[in-house]
Amino acid sequence: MDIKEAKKNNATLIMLEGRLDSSTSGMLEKKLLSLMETGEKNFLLDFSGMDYISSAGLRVLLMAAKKSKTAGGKVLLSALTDNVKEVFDIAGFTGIFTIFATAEEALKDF
Amino acid sequence: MAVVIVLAYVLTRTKVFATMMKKQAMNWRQQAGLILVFGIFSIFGTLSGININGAIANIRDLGPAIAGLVGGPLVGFGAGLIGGMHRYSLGGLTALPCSAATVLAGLAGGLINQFHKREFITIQGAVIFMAFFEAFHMGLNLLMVKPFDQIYVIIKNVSLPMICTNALGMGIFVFIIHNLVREKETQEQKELIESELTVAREIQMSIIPKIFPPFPERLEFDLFAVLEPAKEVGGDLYDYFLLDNDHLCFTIGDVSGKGVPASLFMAVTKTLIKAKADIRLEPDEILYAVNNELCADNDSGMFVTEFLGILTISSGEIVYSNGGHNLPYILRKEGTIKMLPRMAGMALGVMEEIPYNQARVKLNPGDSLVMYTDGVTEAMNESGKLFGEERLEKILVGLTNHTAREEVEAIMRTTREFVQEAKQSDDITILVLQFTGGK
Repeated sequence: MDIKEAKKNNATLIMLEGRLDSSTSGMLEKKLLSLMETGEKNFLLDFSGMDYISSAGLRVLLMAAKKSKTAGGKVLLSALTDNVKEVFDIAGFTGIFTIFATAEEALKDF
Repeated sequence: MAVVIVLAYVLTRTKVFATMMKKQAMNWRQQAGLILVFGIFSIFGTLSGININGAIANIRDLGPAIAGLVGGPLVGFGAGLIGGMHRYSLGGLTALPCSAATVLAGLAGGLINQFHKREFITIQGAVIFMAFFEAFHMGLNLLMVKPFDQIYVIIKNVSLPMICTNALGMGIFVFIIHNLVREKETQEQKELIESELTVAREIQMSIIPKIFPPFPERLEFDLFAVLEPAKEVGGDLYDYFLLDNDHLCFTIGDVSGKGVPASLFMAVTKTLIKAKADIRLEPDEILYAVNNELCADNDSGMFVTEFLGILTISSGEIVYSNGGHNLPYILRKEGTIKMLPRMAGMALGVMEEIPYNQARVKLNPGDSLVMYTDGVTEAMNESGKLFGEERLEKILVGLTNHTAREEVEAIMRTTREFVQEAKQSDDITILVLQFTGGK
């Protein structure tokens, strides 16, 4: 998995590429936690380059959502591919995350 | 220097070394052994000396100093005495101060050992000690040997090489010892963790029911399950138990992630389900109650997908609820399959006070409910392909006249054939409940 980050106005945009599963989710978790330590609380995770997410990946998203909410921020998601969307649907996660079609749209929401 | 390395290596393979590491006192045989080995090493130090303008630079002091650091004052003194006596027997201008210094080297090393309460010296400490001691050795010569002019020339030539080689030899020796100690510690820790994981696996495997058929006196249904963690312990779970004489509660679940954290969450989930399940509660109410408990103080973001159903044994009717789990298949007696209709319901442990839905499905005699975790559908082969739902459906279609065990084994076998040599990436669990209607 490849993680690229870019600082936008009020949030950090994180572009994910590849597979987010139990062997790569630790990487994303570390990245998010270290950004949170520097005071960032708003995140946009863009899934346009991501074709697979497992429950371990969902856990990291959930952890990030909970922590950023405590800090007064939020986690938004954009550009979920069909495979990823299906996993979100099955686990009932579609309802707890705000999901946008594109990263541009999502960034306006911070 | 090669001899120093060999000695250090050999020492770490002996019982003496274990005694030393545990900071215990050595018995007389171990002490005698050390005295002898390092005494001979001291003689070797003398004989292997290098002639520098008529004076001989040597590492005679090194053996006794190490012996002292390893075994205490007596051992150091003993080794020093051997090396010292040998040197004295060779005679010459510096015979007395040189042999005395060798004995003192052993004694000084021993005192350091005693002072540190047998704690082995650091590399830095050892090098500094050896350098200082050699400087002292040179000073002793200057003081004791007459005429001063003559000894001054000798010391001027050999002091730097001797201080350097002895300190270097000491450094190498202590470095090797420390290295091997660390290696041994890491190894021991690894073995400890591995053995703990093995026990953890046994415990985890013992909390899920594994005796089949589970209720041999109940002829109305047949039930079989397998659970194979990807690592020693995993986050998948299944369970089944009778709520009363006519109702069987069964469940399958998958904790996010795998390994030890997932296995702890799995154990908690399974225990909560058993504790909350009650004949007076419907499946959606059970999931609701378990979810609220799991959410309390759950900061790790862990969650579990869970499918739970209750079979009315006399009629074959199943009431079920789903918390984000893969939907099971109904395998009809005729060999047709159908996935249960999609049902909204969030994974457990995510958010409190979430309502769950429930639905009903009727099994006729010969029908099976096939439940699984995504370790089956997301099993990956070496080329990175997923097993997928289609392959799973293909195995099930046309399966007629099979027992629950045979159905589970068919799925398991095909999954294994598919992944072949690829490493199992996720926990795999399959649970089949077949309604036989009393036959």
